[in-house]
Amino acid sequence: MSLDVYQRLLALSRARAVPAASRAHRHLSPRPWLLTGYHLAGEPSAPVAIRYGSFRDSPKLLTVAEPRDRALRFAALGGLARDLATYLSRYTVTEPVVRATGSGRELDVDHCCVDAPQLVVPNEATAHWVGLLGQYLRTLDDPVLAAAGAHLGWIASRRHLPGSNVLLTATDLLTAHWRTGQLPTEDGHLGRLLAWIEPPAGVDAWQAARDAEAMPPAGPASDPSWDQVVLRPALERAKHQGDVRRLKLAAAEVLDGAWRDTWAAIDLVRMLPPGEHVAKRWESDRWSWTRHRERVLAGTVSFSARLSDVPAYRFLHELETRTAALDRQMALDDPLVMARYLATGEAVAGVVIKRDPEHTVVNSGGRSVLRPLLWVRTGSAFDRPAGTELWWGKVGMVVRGSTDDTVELMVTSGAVTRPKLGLLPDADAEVVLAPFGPQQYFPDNLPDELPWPTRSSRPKPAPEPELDDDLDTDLTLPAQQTGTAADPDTAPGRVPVPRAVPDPAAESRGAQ
Amino acid sequence: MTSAGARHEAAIEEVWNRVRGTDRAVVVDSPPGAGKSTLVRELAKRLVAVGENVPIVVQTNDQADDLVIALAGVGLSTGRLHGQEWTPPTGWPRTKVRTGTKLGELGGCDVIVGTAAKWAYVKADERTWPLGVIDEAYQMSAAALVRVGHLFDRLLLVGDPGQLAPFTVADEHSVRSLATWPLDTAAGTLLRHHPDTPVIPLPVSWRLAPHTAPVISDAFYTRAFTAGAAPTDRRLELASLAHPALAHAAEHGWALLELPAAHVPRTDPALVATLADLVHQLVTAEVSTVDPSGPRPLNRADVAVGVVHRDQKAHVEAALQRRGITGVTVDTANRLQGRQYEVVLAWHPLSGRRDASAFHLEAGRLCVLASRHRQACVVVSRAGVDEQLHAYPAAEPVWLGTDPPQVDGWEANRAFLERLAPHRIPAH
Repeated sequence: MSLDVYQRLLALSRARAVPAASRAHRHLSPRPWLLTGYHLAGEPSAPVAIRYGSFRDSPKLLTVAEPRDRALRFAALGGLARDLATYLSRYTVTEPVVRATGSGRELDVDHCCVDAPQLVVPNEATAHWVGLLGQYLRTLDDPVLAAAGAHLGWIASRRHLPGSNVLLTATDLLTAHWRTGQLPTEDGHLGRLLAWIEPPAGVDAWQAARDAEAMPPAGPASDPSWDQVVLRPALERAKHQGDVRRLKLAAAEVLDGAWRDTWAAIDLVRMLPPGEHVAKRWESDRWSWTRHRERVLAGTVSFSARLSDVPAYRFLHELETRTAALDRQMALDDPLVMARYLATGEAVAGVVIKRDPEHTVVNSGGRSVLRPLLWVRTGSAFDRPAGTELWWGKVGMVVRGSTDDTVELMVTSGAVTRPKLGLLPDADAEVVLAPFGPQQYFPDNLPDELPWPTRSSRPKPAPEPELDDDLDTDLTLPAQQTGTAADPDTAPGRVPVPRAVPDPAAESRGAQ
Repeated sequence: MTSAGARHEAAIEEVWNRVRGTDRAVVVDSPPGAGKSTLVRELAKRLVAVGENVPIVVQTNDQADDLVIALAGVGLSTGRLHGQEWTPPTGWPRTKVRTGTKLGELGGCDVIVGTAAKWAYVKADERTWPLGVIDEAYQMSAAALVRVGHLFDRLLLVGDPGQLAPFTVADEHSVRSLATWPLDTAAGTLLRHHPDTPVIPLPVSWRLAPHTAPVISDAFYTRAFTAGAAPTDRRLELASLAHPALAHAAEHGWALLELPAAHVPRTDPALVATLADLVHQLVTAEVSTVDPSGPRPLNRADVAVGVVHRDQKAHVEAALQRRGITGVTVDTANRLQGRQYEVVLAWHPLSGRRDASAFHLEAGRLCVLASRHRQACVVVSRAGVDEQLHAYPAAEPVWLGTDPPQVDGWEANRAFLERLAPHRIPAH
C-alpha cells in the first residue's frame, strides 16, 4: 500500500490537507528574498511589474510604464539589480573550514561563506522565469544588469539539483510537507494549495480552492481579462499622460495575493522543526555560493544552457547521488516519511524481544566470526523474504526468517566485533529497521576528456559563438528542458566529504 | 551441419576476421540465446592463442562470475577483478583463476574479467590494451562506457539489442536537457559517433524453441532471427493433472494465463498466489524436460519467475518460502538479463494497472521476461491489457539529440499480445 495514495484519499474524505512530513525538509533562510511578478503576455523578457524584497510589509515594486520600450525596461530592471546586489552583499562573510583534498589523506584549509542567499518564488513558472531573466540579463553590456543576470543564472541553476534550497518555490515547499485531495496539477496553483492546507474557518477545502481560483493568478502570466480591463488603460495612461500612479496601484493590488501566499507558505513550513540533514544539504549550497562568488570576482562566470561532453556525465552522476541521498536523508530525519517505507513493507517497525550477541558463524575462510542475532516482534505481518537487508542506523542486518509476527535477523555489519556490541539495540527497545544504511560516497571516476568510443572521430566543426548556443536553447525547447546551467562546483568531490568515505566497493552498487 | 549451424559459424568467422582486421570497433548483435557467451569464450581463446591479453567488461557480478567459470573451464588463465565485498560463488574454480581488487594482483592472467563499475577504477596511465571486449553492450550505458573507454585502443562490443535500456534514479527530465544522452546504450553511443562500425548479427537463437522464437523475433527485433532447434528436438512432459496453463505451454511453448480484469496494487496478491501455485506444481509434480541430450527431471534451478518491480520479487519469494520452495529464481527483468531457464513464469508488466507508463511499456522489459526460456513461458496477467494499450496510445515525446528506440514499446507490447492471443487461458 502506498502511504501517498492513502494520504490523498484521507485528505479527500476530510476535505482538508493531511501532513506528509513532521520535519521541515527545506532550509528556510531567516531572511529570504521573495520575488513575484508579471510579464507582458507572451513576452517573458518584458516584465510589467515585479514585487520583491526581504521584508514582508515593505516590498519593493518595479513597474515598467511601456514594457516594450527597452530603455524603460532596463532602467526599471536596473533598480531590481541594485537591490539584489545589496541583498547578496550580506552573504560575503567566510569562515575557514578544514577539508580533505586529493585522495582524502591530506587536509587543507578552505574558506566557505557562513550563509548563502535564498530566493523564494510562488510557483514553478516563476522559478523558470527567473532563470530566463538571468539568461537575458547576463548577455547585456550594462555591468549592473549583467551581474544580476549572472547571479540569477546561478540561483536558477541550483533548482535542478535535488536537495538544493537556493531557489525555493512556495508550491514545492507545501507539496513536500502536505498531501491534498486534488490532482497534482492542481497543486501547482499556490492559492488552491493553501486553501487545502488552511481553509478559512467554516469553509471546506473545495469551496476555498474555488475561491482561490477566482483570485488573480500568481504569475508570471497574468489574467487576460485583467490585461484588458486594468492593465491596458493603466499603461495607456502612463504612456500618454506620464501618470504611472494607476499602473503602480494596479500592480501592487494584483501581486499582493501571491506575495502574501508565498510568505504564508514559508510560515507554515517554519512551524515544523527542521530535519537533521537539512543543514548538511544547505552546506553544499553555501559551498556553491562561495565558488560562484569567487568566479564573479574573478570575472570567469560562464554558463552553457545545455551541458555536453564530460560535464554532462558529471551532472548525471551528481543528480543520481543527490537523488538517492535526499530520499534516504528525509526518511531518516522524519518518522512520517519513514512511514512510507513501512507502508510498502520496505522498512520494519517492532520491538526487540530477544538477542543473542554471542552468535557466531564460520566464514568462507574457515574462521569463526561474531554475527549477533536479533528477534523483532512486528506490528503487522512481515512480507519480505529471507535475505532482505535492513539497517538500524549503522548496524546492518539480514533477515534469516520470519513468522506472522516475528522477524529473525542476523547482524552483518556495524556491530560484529566485541567492542561494538554495545551498538546493538537493547532487548525491549522499539526499533525501526530501514531499507538503507549509512550514506556511501562514490567518486565519479570520470576522465578529463571523453574517450574515443563516445566522441566522433571526424574533425569538429568550428566552435559556434557561445551566445547562439544559449539563445537557440531558450527559444526552441519546452520549459522543463531548458536552463541547466553549468555549475562545475557541484561535483561531490568539491564539497567537503566525510573522511571515512572513499570506498572502492562501487562494484556492488554498479552491479545492481 | 544444419543450415542454422552453418549460418552461425559463418557469422562467427566474420566476427573473427573483423576483430583481426583494422576496424576500430566491431559490434555483434545477438538475439536471446544466440551463442553470445560461447562467442566471447571462443574469441577469448583464439585471441590468447595468438598471444593477446583479453580484458573483458561485463555489467553485473553474476555475469562476471559465470564468465570466469566458463573461461577457466576451457583452460584459460583468468583473472577476476572484483570489489571489496565480493565473495566467490559456489562452484568457483580452484585452478586457472586468480582474483583481486587491484589489477596488480592479477599479473600473468591471459584474460581479465570485471564489471564496468570496477573497470572504472583502473587508470589509463596504469595500463591500456590494444583490444577490449564489452559483453552486454546494450545493457551498459554511455555513462559507463565513458569511464572505461580510454583503457582500450579498439573495442569488440557484444550484446542483445532487445534488452532493457539503461536507466537512472535521477529525474529524467533534468538529464534530457543535456546535449549528450548519457543513458544511451554503450553500443548505441559508439555507433552514433562511429557510424562506419560494422554490425554483425548472429542469425540463430539456440535457446528459444522453434515455436517461440518467431514471436520474439517479430515483436522485439529489427533484424530477424530463427531458432536453431528442430521442432521435434524439445519437449516438456507433464503429469496429466497439471494446470491447464502449464499443459498448454508444454505443448505450444506459450500460455497467457489471465486472471479476471481488475485494477490492483502493484503487488497484486492474487497474481502472487497464482505464480506461487504454478511454481509449486512445476517443482513437485513429475515434470521432465526433453532435448536432444535426452530426458531429465525438471529441477528447481530450471525454473524462474520474472517480475517487474522489486516489491513483486519480495512478495513472490516470500510466498514461495511459505510453501517451502527454495532454489527457484525470482527476479526483476533487469536482473534476469543474460540468464536462461527451461521454464519461465512471467508477470506481465501492464497487469492490473490503470495506466501504461513508459516504464511498463518498455519493449526491453517484456522482451527479457519473454525470452529467458528454452521450453516454455507462461505469462501471467490480469485480463484487459489489450484495452489498456488502446486507451493509452504511444505518447513518448521525441527527444532532440537522441536516436529513436529501434523498437517502439507500445507497438511491441501490442504485437506480442496479439501473437499470444491463441494461447489465452482464463483462470478460474
